[in-house]
Amino acid sequence: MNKQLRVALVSALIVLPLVWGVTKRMGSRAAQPEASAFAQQVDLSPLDRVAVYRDGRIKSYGSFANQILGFISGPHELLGQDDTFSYLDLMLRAGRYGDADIVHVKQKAMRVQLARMLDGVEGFDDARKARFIKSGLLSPRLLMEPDVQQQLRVWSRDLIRTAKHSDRVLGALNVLSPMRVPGSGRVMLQAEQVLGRALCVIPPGSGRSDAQWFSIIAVAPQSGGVMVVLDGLEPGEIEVVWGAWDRLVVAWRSEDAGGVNSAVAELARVLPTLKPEVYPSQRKLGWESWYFSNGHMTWVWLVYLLSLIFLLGGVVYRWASARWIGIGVFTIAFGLHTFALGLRWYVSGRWPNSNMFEAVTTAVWFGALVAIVLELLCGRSAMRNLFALTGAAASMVAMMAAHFLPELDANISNRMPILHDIWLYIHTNVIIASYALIAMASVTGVLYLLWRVGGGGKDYAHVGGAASLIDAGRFGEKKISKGEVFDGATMILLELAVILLWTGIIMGAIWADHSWGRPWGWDPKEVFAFNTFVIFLILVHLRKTSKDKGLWTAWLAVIGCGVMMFNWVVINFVISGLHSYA
Amino acid sequence: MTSDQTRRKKKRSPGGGVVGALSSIRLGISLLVVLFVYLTVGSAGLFYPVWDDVTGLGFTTYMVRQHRLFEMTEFEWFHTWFFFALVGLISLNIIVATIGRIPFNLLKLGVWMIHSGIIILAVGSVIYFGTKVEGDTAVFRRRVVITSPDGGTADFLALVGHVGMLETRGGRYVFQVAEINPSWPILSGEHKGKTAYSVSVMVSTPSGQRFVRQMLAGYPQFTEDVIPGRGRVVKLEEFGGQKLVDESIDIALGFDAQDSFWVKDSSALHVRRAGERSWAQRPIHGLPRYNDYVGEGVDIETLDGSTVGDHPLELGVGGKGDALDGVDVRVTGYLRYAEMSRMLVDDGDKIKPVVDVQIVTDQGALPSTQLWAGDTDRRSAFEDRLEFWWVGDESEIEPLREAYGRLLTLRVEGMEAAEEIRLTREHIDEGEEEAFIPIGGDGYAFRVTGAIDRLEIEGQGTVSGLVMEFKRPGGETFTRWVFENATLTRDLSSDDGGQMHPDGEVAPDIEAAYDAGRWASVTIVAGAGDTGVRLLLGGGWEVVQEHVLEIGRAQAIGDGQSLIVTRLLERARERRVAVIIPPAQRIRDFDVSRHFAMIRLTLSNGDWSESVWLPYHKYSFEDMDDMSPTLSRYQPELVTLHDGRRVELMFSREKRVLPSPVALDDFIVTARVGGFRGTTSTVRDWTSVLRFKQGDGWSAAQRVSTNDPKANGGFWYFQSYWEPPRPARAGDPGSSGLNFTGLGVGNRNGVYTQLAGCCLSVIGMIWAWYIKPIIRRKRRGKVLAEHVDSIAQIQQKVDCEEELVGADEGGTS
Repeated sequence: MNKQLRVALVSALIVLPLVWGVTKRMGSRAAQPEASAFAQQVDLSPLDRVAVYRDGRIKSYGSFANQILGFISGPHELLGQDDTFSYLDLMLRAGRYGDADIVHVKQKAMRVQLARMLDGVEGFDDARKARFIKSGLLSPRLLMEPDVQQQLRVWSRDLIRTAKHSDRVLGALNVLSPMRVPGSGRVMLQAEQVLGRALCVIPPGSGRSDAQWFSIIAVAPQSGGVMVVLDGLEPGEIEVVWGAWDRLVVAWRSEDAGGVNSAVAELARVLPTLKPEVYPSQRKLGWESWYFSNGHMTWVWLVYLLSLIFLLGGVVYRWASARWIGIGVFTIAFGLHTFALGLRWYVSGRWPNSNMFEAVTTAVWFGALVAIVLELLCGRSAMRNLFALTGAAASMVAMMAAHFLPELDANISNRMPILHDIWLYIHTNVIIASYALIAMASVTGVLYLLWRVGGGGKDYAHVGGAASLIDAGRFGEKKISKGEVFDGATMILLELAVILLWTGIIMGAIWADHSWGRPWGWDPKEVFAFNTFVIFLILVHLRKTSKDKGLWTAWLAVIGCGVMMFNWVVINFVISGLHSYA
Repeated sequence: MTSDQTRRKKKRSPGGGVVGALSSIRLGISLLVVLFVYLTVGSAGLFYPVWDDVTGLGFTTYMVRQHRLFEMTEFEWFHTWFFFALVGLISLNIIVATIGRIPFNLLKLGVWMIHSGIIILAVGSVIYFGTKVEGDTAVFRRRVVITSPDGGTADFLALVGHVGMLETRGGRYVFQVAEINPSWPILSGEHKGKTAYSVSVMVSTPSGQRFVRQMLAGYPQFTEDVIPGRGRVVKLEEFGGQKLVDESIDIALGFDAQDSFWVKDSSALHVRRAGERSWAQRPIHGLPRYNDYVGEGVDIETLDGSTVGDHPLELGVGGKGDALDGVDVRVTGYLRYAEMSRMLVDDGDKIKPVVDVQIVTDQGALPSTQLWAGDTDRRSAFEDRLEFWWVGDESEIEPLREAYGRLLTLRVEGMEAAEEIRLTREHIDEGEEEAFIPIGGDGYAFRVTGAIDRLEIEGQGTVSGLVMEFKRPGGETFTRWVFENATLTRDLSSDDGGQMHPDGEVAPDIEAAYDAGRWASVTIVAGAGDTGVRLLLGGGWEVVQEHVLEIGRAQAIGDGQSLIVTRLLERARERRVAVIIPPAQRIRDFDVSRHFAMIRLTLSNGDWSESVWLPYHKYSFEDMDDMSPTLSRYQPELVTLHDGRRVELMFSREKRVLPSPVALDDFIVTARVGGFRGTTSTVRDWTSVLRFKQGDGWSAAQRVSTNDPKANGGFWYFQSYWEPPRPARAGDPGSSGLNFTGLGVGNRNGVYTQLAGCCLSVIGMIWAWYIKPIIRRKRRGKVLAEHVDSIAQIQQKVDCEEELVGADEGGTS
């Protein structure tokens, strides 16, 4: 093993555990204290294949629990428990959670103000206060303090800054239904009804896909033990379901893990057999649960990071071994990324590009795909590995964002009606692919700038971007500077990006024309997509007039990426417009 | 002519100088930079802060184009003379530079295509935006159309609660839509399994008969009557199998044709004489949109205590031939987001004490309550458990304290005057045998065995009383229920096993009256001078706690509850005023759509002048019965002019006539898996089945759904919004929804020109960046193969050529 490879491997071995540790601490479902023995003994895996209806979609129980718990506790796990366990535990043993810190207050300024209000309240000591300010988790009891309630309602009136966050807290409290026990400072949660009603696991008796699903508590016997009648379902079937559920409830409340496991297995066996014609396939439900329990596979950013380390070694120091390992790891990362994308496609039944999480992860998948194609085309040129490096960098950043930022909601929801159009696939994919390429071009732009900072001259790719690609082989035969290589790669990526961006804008206009009645409405999203294009128009023309073409190209590649990111992030999350769902 | 002479001649030519400048690439780059800045500033790239400290968390921000200096929508910002000039200059630069600098050959074909495409796009955009008309309209599903035997007709909109009347020779029929089911299942016949729009109309005939006529849109054969409480008429023997109670009265469902649409982002004053139906409209040009404009002295309020400042507005609203003829009409104020409110101020002539009270419970804060001391209807709240009293001085508080006690008044035979006994808890026999208390000295005695507090009795309201036992001189005892309302007082007969005397007899030798005292468990007492604000907490029998209250400070009142008096007004006066809602409390969609905007209209003639605030109406419907309250408000303002003319005014948008009236035949909701549950999240798509007027009839049905518009008469119709179900609330009978559709309406001239330009530019880019290098490489290879002998020479030539190409073109095009 040569020295360079050893350095790269050692770097990887040092960086990766560090990153892994950070991930564990900051992970999208940050861990809390270890779960109770009961939680560890209970086996809810059979429920992974149970379907739950919610908001016009049939989900796996795992995905459903993940969504509801995310609504209550944000990115945190409840008491170190799995979401599937926490949902049922909140429902059946709500008493445990009255004074447990389980409700997430997202905004830090709000946390600080609430903590100030709770100073002196029983049980809210300095340690708990510090935990709250750090994690945002507060107990229903403390949130029911009159001053806190009053403040939350005041915040609900500020629709611009705080209403969304305070409404979420109030919504979580609505789900938990806390009630102050008269004569004591205790708070009881009465979440059983709300969570029970939401647990729609019984398929419609009619067997029609557009008919209503029933909640598990809908099969509770009426007074006198008379079984309910649900249209299209046999009384015997209802009795079996209720029997299993009743056993589960009793066993759960007495912490009888064995009883719970057998009741869960029975429920998971019976429910899919009630109306098989409308029940989703077991395999699909299983994969959906797997996908959610594995953090939507956004951890693939770590693999991209690993490839990035080697590729940097390969590109910057021209270490041949590191280069090959980097390409190999990048290919593995891309494979995993493709698997994650395909799995989401399979689970949701549609190509994943309908919300921010999907747009971000799919965009960089396109970027990585283009990188691989370009690597194949330029494999013998001086630009080899550079595209893989840019693809790895862009993908790593995007997958990190998907992993760490709760704003990128990973839940699978239905598309808005307006998005049911062939142009969603054409326009959106073309646009997000161009965004990925712009991000990748900014990476080579930054490399060029660093090279200049490091003393590089006013070099640029004389033959130009696409021409460089066509003449790629010649680079390998001739000694050229890194500046030329970086500049050439930037132009290759930008030319492709500009064509895709402009085409995407046009396609969006075509879609808007038949969807909203106007091809162009000067919506902020439209304007800033056009603005990004204008930046690149400036770049193209500056390359004709400027003496320092490489420097201008690099700077405008970075600025163009900034404008694109502004359009994608700020416009999406801050500005309300026609593209609010994009 | 030498080359020097030519250069000098070029230098001298001013036209040549202009052309040279216009063909400059640097000019092009500069214009693109200006375009970038203009786009950024006008869109969402630059904000300015607005202080809005409702929650103590800081600023809110607005876009620059919304500033007072500009007051522009996005559309307006990108339709200024400056923007047009900029785009025109860029186009000119492209044209001149292309013709003057770029040779038209195969290698440069890409650049030519890109530049031509952009020019064609610009031309298409001029056509498009220059002729663009865009708006929206609402089309209801059905009208109820009634024809009487003597030919009289009436019709009204099919919405729950809507009423129609029809005078006939036999008297007046009254019709009211009782129920609408947009998805009535057809259970039999060839249409079994389908659903239909069902409208049930309650009919009151002149003879007093009442029945419900149920009609299914599109299925007149299923029309039938139902008699409330008895069922379908066809099943009732006396009707001999007929389906209708009164076949002479013809009730049918007809289309509600819409012939107009309202222009997007427009403003208009609609005016008519009182009593007339049709509005005349006067467009309002130049009306601001994002900021508040009122001159000093105009009576407005803000919820957060901020001030608007002096920003007068004067916009003439011209028009002729309408109800405002001869009157000078001007817009003198504009509020972006405000509501007319009846506010209380403390400057009235008379004492009218009012308090605002906030109760905070374990479940959170309850809505604020307002109590009026001088108004018996508004003095108390929470079923009289909270009261507000005003006292002249300290001494008047004592009777309030005493009023918590209960007073029993007794007179037995032989007593000259009744005796008043102030009851305490000790008087009540709570299971233990209490001794009888003698009264009157002749052997009569009584004891109280129970209290009946605030018992709800149907038809009597809330009553309070005592359960008493009386003993006569002979030792005979009996029970009497003594109520505050003496007519309810009853003796219970011991002979009937304790049953109440059926005739309500009361033994005449014993008279008993009861006053349960005030029941408010919390009484706020305020008074003039040093009295301050007190809180009396009663325990049902007496005041158990008394506190001095500070305005705005919470006071515990037991059971985990606390009370805050947030405001006390001594001389409250109501005034109707426009109140500006702080930015942070505005509902964003309504804020954008002008839903809560209002204008101040000043009408004048000579010395006469009157100003009135007019709230914004999304649609200028002619009658409240022609609309749904979820669509638009309907609050025309009635004004009496200087000459006694009474006119109605409405602030809305410009209304324009559609090429042909449109009717909504059907409205289909396609549900997602799990079915339609009334929410948008369960809807997969909406489809309006439209018909357009053609001569005397209607066109074939056209289905307009999301992403699938249809054209008619040069206008396109888009599925825009719908009516979701809403539950019944006070003053609103609710709706099962789907009674109307919202359609976007607009033309789209020039889009194909725009598209052609775009496509050409894309092809040009592909040519310039991917095809041109291939052509060049092939040519180079050909040249080299013809003229160069050795590899070394080839390499040298290639290098030279690369240098030349790079220097010439910057390496990209």
